[in-house]
Amino acid sequence: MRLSSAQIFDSGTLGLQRTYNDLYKLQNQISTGRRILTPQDDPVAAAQALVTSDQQAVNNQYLDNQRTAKSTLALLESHVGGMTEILQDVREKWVAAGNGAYTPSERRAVATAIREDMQQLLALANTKDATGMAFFSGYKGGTQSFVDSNGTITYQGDGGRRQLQVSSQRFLDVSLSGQEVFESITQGNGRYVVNTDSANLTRVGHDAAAAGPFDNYDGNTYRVTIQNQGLDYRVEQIDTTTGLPMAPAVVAAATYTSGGAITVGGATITLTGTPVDNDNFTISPSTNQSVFTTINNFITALETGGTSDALRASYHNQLNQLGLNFDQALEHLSAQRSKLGSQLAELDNLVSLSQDVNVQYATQLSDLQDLDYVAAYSDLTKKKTSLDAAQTAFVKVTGLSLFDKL
Amino acid sequence: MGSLLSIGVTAVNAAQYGLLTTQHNIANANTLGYSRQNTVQSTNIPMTTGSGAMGQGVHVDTVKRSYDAVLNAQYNQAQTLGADYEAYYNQVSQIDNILADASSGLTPTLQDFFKSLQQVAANPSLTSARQSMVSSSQALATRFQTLEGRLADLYDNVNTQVVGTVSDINAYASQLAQLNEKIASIRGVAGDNIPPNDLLDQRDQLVSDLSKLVRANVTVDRTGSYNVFIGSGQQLVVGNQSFALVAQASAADPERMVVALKGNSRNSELPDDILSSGGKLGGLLRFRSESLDAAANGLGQVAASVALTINAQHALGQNLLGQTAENSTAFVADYFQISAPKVIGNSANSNTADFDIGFVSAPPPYDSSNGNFYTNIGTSDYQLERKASGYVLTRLSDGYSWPSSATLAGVFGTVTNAQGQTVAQSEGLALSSFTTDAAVGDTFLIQPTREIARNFTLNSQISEDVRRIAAGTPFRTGPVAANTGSATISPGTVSTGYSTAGLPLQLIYAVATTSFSGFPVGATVNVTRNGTAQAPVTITALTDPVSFQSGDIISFNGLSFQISGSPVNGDRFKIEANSGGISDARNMVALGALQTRNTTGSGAATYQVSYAQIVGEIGSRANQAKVSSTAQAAMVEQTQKARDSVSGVNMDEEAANLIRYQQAYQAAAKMLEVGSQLFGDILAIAGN
Repeated sequence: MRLSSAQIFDSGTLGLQRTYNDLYKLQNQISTGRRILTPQDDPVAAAQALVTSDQQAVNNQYLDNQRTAKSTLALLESHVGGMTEILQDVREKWVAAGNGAYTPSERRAVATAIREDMQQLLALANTKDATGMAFFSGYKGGTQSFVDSNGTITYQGDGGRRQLQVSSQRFLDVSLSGQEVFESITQGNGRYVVNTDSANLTRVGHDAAAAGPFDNYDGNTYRVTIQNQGLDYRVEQIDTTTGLPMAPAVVAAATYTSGGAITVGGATITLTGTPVDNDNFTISPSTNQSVFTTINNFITALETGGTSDALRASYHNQLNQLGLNFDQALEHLSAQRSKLGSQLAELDNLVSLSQDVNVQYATQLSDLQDLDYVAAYSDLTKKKTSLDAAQTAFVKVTGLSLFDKL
Repeated sequence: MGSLLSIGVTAVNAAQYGLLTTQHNIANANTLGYSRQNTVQSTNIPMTTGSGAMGQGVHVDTVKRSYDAVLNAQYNQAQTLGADYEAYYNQVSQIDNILADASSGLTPTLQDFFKSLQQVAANPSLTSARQSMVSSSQALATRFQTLEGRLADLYDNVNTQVVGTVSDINAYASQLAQLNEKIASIRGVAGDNIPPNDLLDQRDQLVSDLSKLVRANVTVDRTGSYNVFIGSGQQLVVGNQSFALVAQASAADPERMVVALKGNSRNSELPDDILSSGGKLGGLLRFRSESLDAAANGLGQVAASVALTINAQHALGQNLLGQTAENSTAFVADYFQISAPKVIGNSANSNTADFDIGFVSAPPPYDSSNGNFYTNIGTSDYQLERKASGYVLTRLSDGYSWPSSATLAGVFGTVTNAQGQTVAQSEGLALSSFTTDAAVGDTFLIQPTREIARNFTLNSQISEDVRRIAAGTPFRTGPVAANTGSATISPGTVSTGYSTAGLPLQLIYAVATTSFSGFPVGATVNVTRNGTAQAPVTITALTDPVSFQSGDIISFNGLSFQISGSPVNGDRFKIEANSGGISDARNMVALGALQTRNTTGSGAATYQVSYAQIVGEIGSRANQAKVSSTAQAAMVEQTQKARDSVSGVNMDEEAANLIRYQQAYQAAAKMLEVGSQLFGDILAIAGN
């Protein structure tokens, strides 16, 4: 084929330019470490990298939220732990108060000590977080959780549960309401309570069975009344709305034995001592009582207990009841703690999962857009060699001219 | 003896012509479009003598250029595509660089925005967290505006280049017409045998230059003139006449420069698609309609979806001032602000009918299984035409037309596509208002998303007072302290159109009927049990029971919550307004969750996936353009080689020719010398 002189120059410069372009791109790739400089280099991988980097950012966001949730829950857990300690302290004083040898002034001294515990507990219940929001007020973070008005402590917050998104489908509760922690505590053994009629003249102490199972209890209200000069008792079922016995008038009747167990409607109580006619005891389903009320009742019991047989019996009965309530409260707090503990454990799992996933995303991103340096360097060397050759060839070929020989 | 000298003279002349032609070739070796020339010589008519036919020397017939029309046409053809791809690639690689940059693309700001949202979710009452959410929202808005600004620059750039290209085309066309005339007149005088080689070369070069700007079809007429046609046969040059093109604003969209044929009274606009293949003009026009529109509309689609879905969820909240959409007119529902879709009446419309289109924004559709809003907004533009039969709406991306409807409102409200969807449902567009009926033949261009990114801003009322960010939810739920059962109630969510009328209330569980009662009178209670909706219960009295199973999702008046576990008789749950609920971040958590929900493209993609689709699409167009451009460059090189191998000047060849003609000249001169010596000899004899 004929060649024109312009062709020799043109194709030479074109070839050089092409190699320069390749070298420029390689140099850019090597200096940035990225295989994809702009999406046109690999449109599919570029789009995928965008989505993956977003997923990674979302995952990091979850990781942040998990950490926030973890520190909040850990704080909650330590607060609930603090409350447990205070309550255990109160319960120890309850054990001591059961000592019949305590004089009224000694009891009052115990009561004073318990008031201190009460204040401590209240202070814990009214804790604020780092941003000045009440910890236990639900959504009403700006409201003090518990207000003490003449010894009556009432909850001011709501039942709202604060949540954080800790994974794509998991919204984790990161708060406990004051109501949940301090107020929703069942009394007695958790199923039923035994109340002593305040008009009782009896010196009888009662013990609701402290060990289960209590699930046989049928949920009705029964009244055990002493009759026949303290020799017998009768049991009636009480209509909760009218407070009057229902038909049939007497559910059961038997001879009274001190220390004998009386079982009615699946509930068992034990009466001990010498009763008087018309003394009565009511078995009814457990209701909830705030831990503050329970402590207040303890203080009242300590401050009013006397030395007569009747007062001793009443004091004993109250202490019995309080003991059950303290156990319930401690159990309730430990249930809350274990719930928090399992949430924390879940978070630990989530954190390590998210970290693993993060590594995977990083690997994926690197696969998508990072440069293979070895290949790039060998490519660079190859391109450089060919550029050298092309330059030499260009000079040699274009240097040929017949005119030089004329 | 005379003939001896005269033959010598013809030989000297022929050699001189050869030398001249060679010199001309050497001089024009680097002239663009030059075809090498050579002399064509033949013998003179012999003189018949008794001894035979005596040769009478040589003469030069003509100077011929080495030219192959087919190779030339191939070269032009390759060049027109090469220029097209190159122009396209130069433009599209600019978008490509803008969109996906790791630091200047949309992705990082979108991520920052959601990150700041989660901070508010963790600390809803913390002003500094809210402030940082406002800052990152403003950064997001600025990023949308900046990206759109870069695309707008490209639109301007295309417009400028279209204007420049058209004026270049006109210049070439008029030069072509002039050359046609010159060549024809020379031909008239000298005849076909003596072609004006250099003028022909110049004319071919003009065609070649023109081909780089626009695909030109050239025919040669009887007189040897070039007639040039562009597009679908529009005349550009006929004989010695050229027809001017003008670049003017499109009648349909005044912001777009298009090409028109200049007419006496009115210019007639050429549709982009007939010019969109070949030449720089073709590359520019195709880039604009194929890539730039897609990028701008796609960006707008993401912006519109972000604004509409965030706003719809934000409107369901309660702010730090305790305001909700329901209880206060001062409540700020819209977090972001965007412009309405753009509607442009064609400038040729005969009357000034005017109407507005809005997004289906109050509210966008809600995906109840995932609990998020989404949009149906696409990336296409639409054309609305008033025909005699009524209004016809056409989606420009695929040419789909909805059946016509007598009224404009009818098109949007009642006319459905094959799937039974109205425009509002399938395209996310609704007609807001219209004033007068359009005249038959009037058309309107609807660009739903083109300018959304430009007009995407954070609502200034939010930035003025960050407490107006609605992080909470207008109602709350909770058990009463006396509950002894194990049932729990979920925090509760609201849906659009919710009402807190009848709150506070307490739902009471009755074990005998396994149901809750206490719902507000007049409300309709819907229960979803294991994913199945139960028959709704309309409440006529507070005591009306609603049957319950653990895990039921209960909703009424747009308020919904889930109760799980086993309640005991008499257990109660409070449903109340969220007064003082400043630590509640439920709505912010729901807003944050939108990041991973399918919020765009009719609930098929997340914001990020939609954006990545644009990046991927533009990236592959750029890639395709680059590949085509490289391939075409090779094609140009090859056809150029083929052409140059015929027409190009080779210096070595010319050097050889130089020597050849030099020697011929020397030989002829020697002949003259010999002839003159012989003549001298004769004279000497005579003188003796």
